[in-house]
Amino acid sequence: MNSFFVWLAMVIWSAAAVCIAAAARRNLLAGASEFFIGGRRLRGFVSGMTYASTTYSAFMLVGLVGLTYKTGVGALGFEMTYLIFTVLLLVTFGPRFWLAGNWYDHITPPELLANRYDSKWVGVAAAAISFFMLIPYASVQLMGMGFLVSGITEGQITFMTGVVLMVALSGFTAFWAGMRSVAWTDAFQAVTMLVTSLAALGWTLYHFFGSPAGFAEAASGQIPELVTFTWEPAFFIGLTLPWAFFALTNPQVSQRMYVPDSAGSLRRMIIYFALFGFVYTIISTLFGLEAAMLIPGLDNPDKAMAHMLARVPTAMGLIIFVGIFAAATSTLGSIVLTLSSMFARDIAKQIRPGISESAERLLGQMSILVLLAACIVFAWLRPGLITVVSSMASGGLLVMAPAIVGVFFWKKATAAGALWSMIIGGLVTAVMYLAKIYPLGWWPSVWGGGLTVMVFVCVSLLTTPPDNAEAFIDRVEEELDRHNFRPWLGREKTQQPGKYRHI
Amino acid sequence: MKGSHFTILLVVITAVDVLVPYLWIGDIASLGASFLFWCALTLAVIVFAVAATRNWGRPV
Repeated sequence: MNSFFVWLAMVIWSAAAVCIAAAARRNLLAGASEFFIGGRRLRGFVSGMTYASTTYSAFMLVGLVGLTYKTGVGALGFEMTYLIFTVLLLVTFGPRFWLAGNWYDHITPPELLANRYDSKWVGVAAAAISFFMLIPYASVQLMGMGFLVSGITEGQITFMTGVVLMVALSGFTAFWAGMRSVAWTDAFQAVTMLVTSLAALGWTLYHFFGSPAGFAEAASGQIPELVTFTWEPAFFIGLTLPWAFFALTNPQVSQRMYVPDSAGSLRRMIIYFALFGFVYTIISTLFGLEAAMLIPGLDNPDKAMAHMLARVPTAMGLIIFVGIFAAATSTLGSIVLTLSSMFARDIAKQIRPGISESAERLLGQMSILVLLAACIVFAWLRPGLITVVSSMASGGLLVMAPAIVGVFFWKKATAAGALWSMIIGGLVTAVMYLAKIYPLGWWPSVWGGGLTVMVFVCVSLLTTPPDNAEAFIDRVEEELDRHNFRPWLGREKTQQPGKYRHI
Repeated sequence: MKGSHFTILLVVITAVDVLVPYLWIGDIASLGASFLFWCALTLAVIVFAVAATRNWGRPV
């Protein structure tokens, strides 16, 4: 593809994103929570779209397409299972995070852990694990973009040019106005992702297969092995388990449970995200099946989408490219902003509790620059290990799940249980991933997750829960009823028409 | 959602999500089998979520 058109597409799209960020900045107020979580004033649509575009990275139109190309409909099962878990987790944990965040002015997810377990070390450990796992993951977004840009222009735009462009855009929006501009540009990016991928899918379905029905018929006839479910159970569970709890364990998304301005907006956030994820997952897997029929025999399945781009007209290729660029940029910006908030709140503020909110915000902004520089270095070095480390990110972050569940559902959960489960589980999972140890064929995330639960339960039973544990959970349960968060369970009609009471 | 309800729901849906393709429809070479099943199951969960959250934020 001619590099001029690629430059033109990136410049036009980036200019639009910058204009949206500028508009968002006009509403920016003072304070750390304003910068890091938009002052908890985001409406439902923007909350839902920032959640969606943070969750769905370039992996969808690159990695998931490749996974479907190679392994078939199992990829859809894996991604839909993730979505099912996420929707149910958001319905259950969303109100709890939102209520607790409002009462205690939590900005980061580790802050919730530190507060409930009454131990700053629990928060520090959660923040440290997040940094260790998410910096390589963010760098992979950069590397993917660099490869894509240089690939489709056949080297006319270099790998590092693509990397620097993406850093500049995502860094600018995060640094300039924090969550408010990240969320607004995320919403723009999410709409871009959906519209461009839908348009491209529609075009390819009709152009190459005559109609969607023609595509379905061709798939059954040409690639029967890919429309049957052939995944081994160990592979399916190993890949799905860490992603199933993504909504709780990945701070860049769990932090978004703090941002809606009302319970109604929280509800809309969940619904919009769920609908987006449903459509986008189907689109991505259909691209993979299309590629399997149109360009069979690729050595590297991850290049299936790039080969698809080469087979479509320039305008359509640019549309798909912009969608991938949007997905990667929004995920990177969100991760960097979340990590910067954790540096300011969970690390710097623990060392110097007396720092002001403006200093906290400034520290966060400075850390955005440092984090992006670290990501550029990772991407520039292109170490082989980074792929392994990034793939273990979701498995490594899974070790926080028991401690997070315990915050709201287990009064006997203790700080020692939370701390040691994260440390031991995290170390074991990381070592198993790096050494490629798969006992009995099961993935490290399965062993690490099981070990984490055991350590969490055993250590908690042997130690004393914090004094505030019972009061914290009781208050959450009472407030859930007060805000009508679960009226659909166990209600009966009272004497007054239209009125209900909880039983 | 209460923790116990959430756990039961999650176990049931996970069982359906995994067992149906592995035991019954996984080897049918058609988009109308596993592909359609997972789409339908996910859509059902989304509809459930819409219904379950319909009164959030409304006065009790």
